[in-house]
Amino acid sequence: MKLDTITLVETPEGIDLQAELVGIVPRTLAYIIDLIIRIAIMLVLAILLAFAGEAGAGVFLIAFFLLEWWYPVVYEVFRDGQTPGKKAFNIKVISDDLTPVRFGASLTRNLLRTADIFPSMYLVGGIAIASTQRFQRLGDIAAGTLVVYCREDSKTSSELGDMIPVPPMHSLNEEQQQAFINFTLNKGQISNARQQEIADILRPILPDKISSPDDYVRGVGKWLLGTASKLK
Amino acid sequence: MQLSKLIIEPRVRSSWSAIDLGTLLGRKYWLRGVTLYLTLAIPTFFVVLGTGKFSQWLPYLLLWWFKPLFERPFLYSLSRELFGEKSGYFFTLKEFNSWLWPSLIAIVTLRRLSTNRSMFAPVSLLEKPPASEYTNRTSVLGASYSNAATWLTVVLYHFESIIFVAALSLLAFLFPDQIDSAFSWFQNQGSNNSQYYIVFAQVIIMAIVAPLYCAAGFMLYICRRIELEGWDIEICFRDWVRTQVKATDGPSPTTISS
Repeated sequence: MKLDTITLVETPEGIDLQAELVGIVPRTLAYIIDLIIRIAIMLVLAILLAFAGEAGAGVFLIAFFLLEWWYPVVYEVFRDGQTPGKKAFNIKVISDDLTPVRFGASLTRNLLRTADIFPSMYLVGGIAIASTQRFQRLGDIAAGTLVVYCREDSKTSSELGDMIPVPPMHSLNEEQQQAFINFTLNKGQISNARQQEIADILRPILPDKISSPDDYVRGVGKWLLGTASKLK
Repeated sequence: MQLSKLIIEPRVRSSWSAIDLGTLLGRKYWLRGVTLYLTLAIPTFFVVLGTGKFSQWLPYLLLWWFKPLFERPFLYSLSRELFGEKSGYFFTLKEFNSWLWPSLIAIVTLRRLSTNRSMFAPVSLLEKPPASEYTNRTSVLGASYSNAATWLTVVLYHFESIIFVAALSLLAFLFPDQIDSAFSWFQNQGSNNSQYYIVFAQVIIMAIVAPLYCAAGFMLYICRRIELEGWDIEICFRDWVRTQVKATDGPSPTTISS
C-alpha cells in the first residue's frame, strides 16, 4: 500500500468513492483567515457599539457569542461545508461517508473546539490532526466529519488547440486513461525531449506505422478528454 | 532511482496536497527524524551555551541558524526510504560523508534565509548542481510550488512557538500554585540558569516539528518533479508495456525491465 492522502469509502451499492484529505498546514491557514475575518467584524462592532453605552455592551456580547459559535456552523451547513477561509483554500467539511455535512454534525464538531483548543492555541487539536489516520481533530472524530479538497474541473479538449484526436488502439483501464490525459494536459510543462522519452516507452506495443509515439499519446489524450466532456 | 519502488503514490498534486503527503511521510519516520535531529542539535546546544554570556538570545539564534544542518541526516534518510532502501538511524549516521559535505557552507550562509529552504534543501543535498546553476534550477522547480513552500516555513515556525506557549499553559493548569514561575520567563529574562532550560526546551520542540517540516519540503520537491518529469505517466506506461509483452511473448524481455 503506497502512502497517499486519499480516503476510500465504499457505498452500500459496492461503489468506491474517494476524497483527498486536507492536512494540518492548509487547515491552519484556513482557520487563520476565518479568525481574521471574525476579529475584523468584532472590532468594527466594538467601535460602533461603544457609542451605545451599556446596551451596546450587551449587544456586543450577543454578537460575540453568535460569531464565535455560529459562524462556522452557519457556513458549513448553508454554504456547502465552506467557511470563507476554507473557500480560499478550496476545501470543505463533509461527513465521513462523503455526504454533505448535516446540522447536528457541524454543531458537534464546532462545539468540541473547546476540547481541541486545550490547553491553549489548539495544541490538542493540532496533535490530533497530525497523528490520526484521516487528519481529524477531536471534534471531527466525535462528529464523524472530514475536511477534503473540492474537485477541480479539468480543462476541456477545446482549450488544447489544434491537436488531432486519435481513438486509442487498446482498451484502456482508468489509470491508463488518466496517464494519457495527464500527458496531453501537460500541467507540469514537461520538456519536449522528456515527452518523447516517456512516449517511447510504449514503442513495443504500438504498431510500426506510428512514427512519433508522443503525437499518438497526445492525440489519444485529447480523444479521451473529448469523450469525457461529451458524457458530462 | 527506480520509480517502480516509490513508497508514495505518484500523482500530480496541488502544492498543498504535496505538503499533506509530506506530513504523512514525516510522521511515518517521525521518531527517526527526532533522534537524528537531536544527535546533531544537542552537542551544538552545549557548544553554543557559552555565548549566553554576551547576549541571552545568542544561543537560541545560533541553534536556529544551524537548523538546515540538523535536518540533513533525516532528509538523506528519507531520500533513500522513498525508493524502498532501508536507512535506519545508525546507517544514516555512518553515511555522514554523503549528507554532511554537499554545499555545506552554502546552506548555512547564502541559502539559509530562503523562505523556501525546505523545498530546495534536496537540490543542495541530492542534485548538487554547481553554484552558478543553483538559482536556475530552483526557479524551474519553484514555479507554482514556492508560494506554498514559504507558507510551510511560516506555519511550522509558528507551530514551534505554539507548542512552547501551549506547553507552558499546560504546566500552569496542572500546577496553578507555580503559575508565576511558569510565565516568569516572559517578565524577567533573569540572569539565572533558567534561560538555558528554556533554550533546551526550544531545541526539543524544534526536533519535534523538524521531521514534518523536512518531509513536507521534500514532498514539495518530489511532487514538483513528478509533475515536471511525468513520473506518474512513465510508471503507468512501463507497467502496461510489461504486462502486455508478458501476455503475448511469455517471459518479459530484459530490455523493458531495465
